[in-house]
Amino acid sequence: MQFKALKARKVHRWLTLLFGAQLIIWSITGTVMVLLQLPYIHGHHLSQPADRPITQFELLERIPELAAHYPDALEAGLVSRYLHGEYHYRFRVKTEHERFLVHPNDFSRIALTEDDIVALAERLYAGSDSPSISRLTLLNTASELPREVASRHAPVWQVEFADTRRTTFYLARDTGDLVTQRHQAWRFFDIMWMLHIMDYQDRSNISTWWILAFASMTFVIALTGLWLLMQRYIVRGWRRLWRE
Amino acid sequence: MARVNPLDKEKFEQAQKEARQKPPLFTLSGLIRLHRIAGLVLIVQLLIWTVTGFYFSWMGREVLNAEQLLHRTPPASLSISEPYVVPMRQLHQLGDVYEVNVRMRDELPQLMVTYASQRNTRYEDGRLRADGLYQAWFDGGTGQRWNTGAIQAQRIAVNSYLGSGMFNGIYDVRNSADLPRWEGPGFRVEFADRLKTRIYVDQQSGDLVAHRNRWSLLTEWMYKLHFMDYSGQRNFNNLLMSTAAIFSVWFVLTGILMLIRVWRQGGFVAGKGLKYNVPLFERLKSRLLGVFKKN
Repeated sequence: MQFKALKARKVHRWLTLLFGAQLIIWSITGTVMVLLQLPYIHGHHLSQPADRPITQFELLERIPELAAHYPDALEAGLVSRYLHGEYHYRFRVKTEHERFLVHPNDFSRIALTEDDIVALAERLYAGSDSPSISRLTLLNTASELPREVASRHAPVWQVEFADTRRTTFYLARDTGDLVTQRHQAWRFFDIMWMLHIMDYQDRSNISTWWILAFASMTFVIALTGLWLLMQRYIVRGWRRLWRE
Repeated sequence: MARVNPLDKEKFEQAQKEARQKPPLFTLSGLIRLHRIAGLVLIVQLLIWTVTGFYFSWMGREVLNAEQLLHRTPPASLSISEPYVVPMRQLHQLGDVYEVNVRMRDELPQLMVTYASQRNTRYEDGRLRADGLYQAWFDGGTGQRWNTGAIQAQRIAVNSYLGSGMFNGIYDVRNSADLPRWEGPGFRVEFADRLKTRIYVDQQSGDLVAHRNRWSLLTEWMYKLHFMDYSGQRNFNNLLMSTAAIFSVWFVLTGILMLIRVWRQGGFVAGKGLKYNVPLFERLKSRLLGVFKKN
């Protein structure tokens, strides 16, 4: 029995030495992700509605006309948005490839300026202190987008705030819609997720061969550990009791 | 501390006797004892984490989400014909409406309203979103609340189905154990295929909720066991999980201490000069020589 325990112990120790580093990473990253509350990570607390509530619902009756004007439209919406220094009613049109704002009277397309984006971002910001934008960058193509925002959202404005959480808003270039919000805790969580799923490139593939290999080895470590615990607390106890 | 030769019975038993005396907690030996105790508490959950983690990796996202036979239908073009009714009175009653979107759902115009409710949430008909705003859906043909019918639900489900199985029935469901996070009500549309595909359609919005199949129940249990949230909500921020996770960190950290001690004792070196390894090398030598002599 001693020799059997010795073998299991050797396997347990050697496998832990060779594959244990990932076990430590899984344990620490798992704990961090469990302790950070997911709603906080999603960052909805960082933003608030920037549009004004709609009162002129009768504008919605123009939607069939708008659909006829833009035959490739898949969806049309009404918003009251802060543009050019005041709130205006605008229709938002969604086609297969783009989203844009149009004027509710003549359905002409409206382009947003840099000032509009700044004004919208300041109204969206829900931090306790007054918003202070440190950097504003227009990202036109998917390849320009940082990893923290999905490539399908291009083109977007990246609005960075000078706060301790390093809040960053991504606003759609043609509509001013808040696409997503990021902050330091989210970025930290994302690194933890990357280390946990062992996909260091896209941070989304959970089925790499090396994660399967490490998971298998961890299973053997856990099984030999279980065997050693049984040796220590069950088999030896019984043997001692039997001897006595 | 020198390593004891397990073949030297006298010394080995003496070392064992010493080892049986419980060391104080804040010495290296004490911490190592805590590794064993933490292991005793955690071992079943550790095995569960490795098995369920392996399952998630092995199956991949497509199987986990039961999307093997899912066809993502492109949204229909917005073409609104008469009648088209805007539910003015209902929109005014909702509260602060921030957005009204019009889209086609099963060839009918549907109004999707995003609003901040000013009513008691207990009496709220809309559906709460993650950002704290509510959503409600209206039928653009009648001006009434959107209410998906069984025929519509069947059409939506069939359009999202890629498989070759026959339609096998539609059921009106309040909610489902298949989808613990879905509030319901809606429809379950079943197909007779090898995967036993079930498709859920939401009654309030007419949206396709999810596909489920023969793997889904097992997957749901894997999530329950991995996240230690046995309600099925997949909330990994629960107290039980947090406690187990902190224990696991303690477990691996004390494990590192054990490895360091074993390393310092020469446990990872197969050196011939070490006293512990002498009988091993002698046996190896005699076996090898024996083989050579036979040949």
